Amino acid sequence: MTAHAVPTDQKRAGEKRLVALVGRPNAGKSSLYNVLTLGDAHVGNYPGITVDVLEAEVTLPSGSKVTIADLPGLYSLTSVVDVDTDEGVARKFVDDAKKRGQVIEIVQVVDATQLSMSLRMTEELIGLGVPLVVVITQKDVAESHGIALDTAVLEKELGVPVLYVSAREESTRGVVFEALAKEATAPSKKPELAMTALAKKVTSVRADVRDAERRRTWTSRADAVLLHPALGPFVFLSIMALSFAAVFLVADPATAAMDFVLGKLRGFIVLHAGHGLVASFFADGLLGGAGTVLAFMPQIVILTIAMEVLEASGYLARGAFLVDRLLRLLGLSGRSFLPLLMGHACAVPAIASTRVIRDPKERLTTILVLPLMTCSARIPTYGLVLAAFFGHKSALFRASIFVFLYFAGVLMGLVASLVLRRTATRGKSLPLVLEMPAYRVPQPRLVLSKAKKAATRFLRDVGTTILAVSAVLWVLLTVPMPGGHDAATATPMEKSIAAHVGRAIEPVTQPAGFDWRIDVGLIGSFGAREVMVGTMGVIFGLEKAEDNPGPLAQRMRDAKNPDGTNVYGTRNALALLAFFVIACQCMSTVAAIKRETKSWRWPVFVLAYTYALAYVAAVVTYNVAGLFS
Amino acid sequence: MAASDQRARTRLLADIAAGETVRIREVELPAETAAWLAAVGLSPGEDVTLLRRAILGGPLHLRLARGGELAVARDLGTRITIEDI
Repeated sequence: MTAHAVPTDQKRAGEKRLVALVGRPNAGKSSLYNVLTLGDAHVGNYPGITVDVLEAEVTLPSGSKVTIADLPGLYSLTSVVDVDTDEGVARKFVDDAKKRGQVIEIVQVVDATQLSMSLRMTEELIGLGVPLVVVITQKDVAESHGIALDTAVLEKELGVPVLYVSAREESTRGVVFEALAKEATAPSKKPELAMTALAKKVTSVRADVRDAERRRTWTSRADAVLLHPALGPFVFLSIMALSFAAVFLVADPATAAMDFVLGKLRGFIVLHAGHGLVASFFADGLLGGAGTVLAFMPQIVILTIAMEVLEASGYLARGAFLVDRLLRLLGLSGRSFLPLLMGHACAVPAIASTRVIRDPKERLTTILVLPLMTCSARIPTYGLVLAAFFGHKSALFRASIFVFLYFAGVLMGLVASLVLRRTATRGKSLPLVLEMPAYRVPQPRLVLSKAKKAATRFLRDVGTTILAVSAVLWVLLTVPMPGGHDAATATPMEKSIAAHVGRAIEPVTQPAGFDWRIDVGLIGSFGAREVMVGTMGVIFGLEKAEDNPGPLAQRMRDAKNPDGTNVYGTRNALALLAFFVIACQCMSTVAAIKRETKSWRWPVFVLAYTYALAYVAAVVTYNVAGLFS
Repeated sequence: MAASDQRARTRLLADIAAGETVRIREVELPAETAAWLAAVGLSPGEDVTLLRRAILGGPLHLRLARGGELAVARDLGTRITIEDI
């Protein structure tokens, strides 16, 4: 292969160089990306690449700007190029950039303690004919293991720049930028030495530390407990339950505080603008709708932090190891564990993350059951129902129901996958191979940036979709049904368009204990389940707003039928929870399934089976609960 | 019967004891899968240590002499033959 400097006509002003970070999973790519970009990240827009590629623009000391893109972790660019796996995505990304004529440079991120295996990929990357810089990270870890690397020899033999850094140190940024600022040339020759021999040549291990390493390191000592046959699963379940309970217990006061602020704001509007239509639009429509949903942001942030800490610490791989046998019984494997767990934050990125599952049937099954995992958008409804109908019980009791709802979602998912693997996605699976990274202390900055992203996405949702739906709903609940024949005693809302629609389907949902108000809520939340709380906020804001200015939960609990009985009881609440555990009320998820399965068949299937199942579960719950009350 | 003799002596990765370090002899899988496994670090000539097994026939927890640890399905371990070092 001949050297080719990047043609100058491609370097015209305005054309940004693209720097792609490539490396094995857990090589420290994310840490390096974060140090280089100072935590800045947005999802890049690359046609045909559906998995999220994070990228950020940085300015080199020379003043030139480059775009840094973080590609998914992979083991090999050449072997098994299946476009639907992470390896395929990375390959396509590089090929597309070359095709576009964009100046691309690859930074291979290498874990110093796994040099020998990583050099295999270095050889592949050299063969691509694209400028390459090898950044070896985890210098601190390697040194503590007594491993020393001769990077000068490595650089000479490979014919590409080699840097040796600790990705967590600030100084790393300058070192890498300096290397990127140099004229980028593609490697000119194939390395002469075999990679295994080369790795041996540049690595030396100090004997005294080798002995020290033979002692149990921190990771294997932790594994002895966390992967213990009896203790391990117990710790695992406890950690999961604690995380979900923390979401509830820590965020509950935060939500109450937010509710209080909203109540004051509402009082302020009514005080200054009176009870007119305009005031009602702001107080009941926008504030009651979107504002009520906003109160659930703390939960979503805390859940995201819990997930990120578990993932970044390396514990999730242990979870996968522990549950592999169980998932295997149900036709999945430990590989499905990570996407399924991620689904508890949001199904959309989790569906994209199923690309780590190499088996097509298993991947499809995971995608199909992912909507059953309790995503953070369900939290507002759970929170509202728990506050409304179990508010008099202890916080611990409510937290237990909350945790139970999470496990109910998981259980439904497992049952669904068991059925699917015997019907729609029948077939044999590829066996599991999964990296078990050493335990690490999660980097607060990385975790917080993820939390910030989740919060922003939620805020955007509230600011756009939920606000819009709340506004439309307010109109539908205020404008009377044209040509409607209502009793003279009917309230304005009972005469509204929405009420008429809700009452039309009431007979169908009656067996589940849903009245027309809940039906209106369910219609409103068909596209996004977090709208439910906003809808209820609007409905109960318009109804009895004067004589019951308390929080939404209180107003729902106190809602009375004309005959003086309560509209909702515990059994209605439980039925509604059952419905929300199962129904796929999320168009973003449907779109993600369409994108990943490349057909309409599966998203339609998911909608159909989850709604049917949700309805049955709600009816059963309502009637069983009726037996006890 | 040399062949059956050899078979009798062939041990599988799935069958070694926890704590034992062995060398991979052969990966008896389709070429495509074997190539990917090699990229991950499981190829003939590599030394691996079995750290533990998950309960009830769950995955094997391996440490690669080259660095890194893997969880590998027990099924896969039955397709990989090994030799003593």
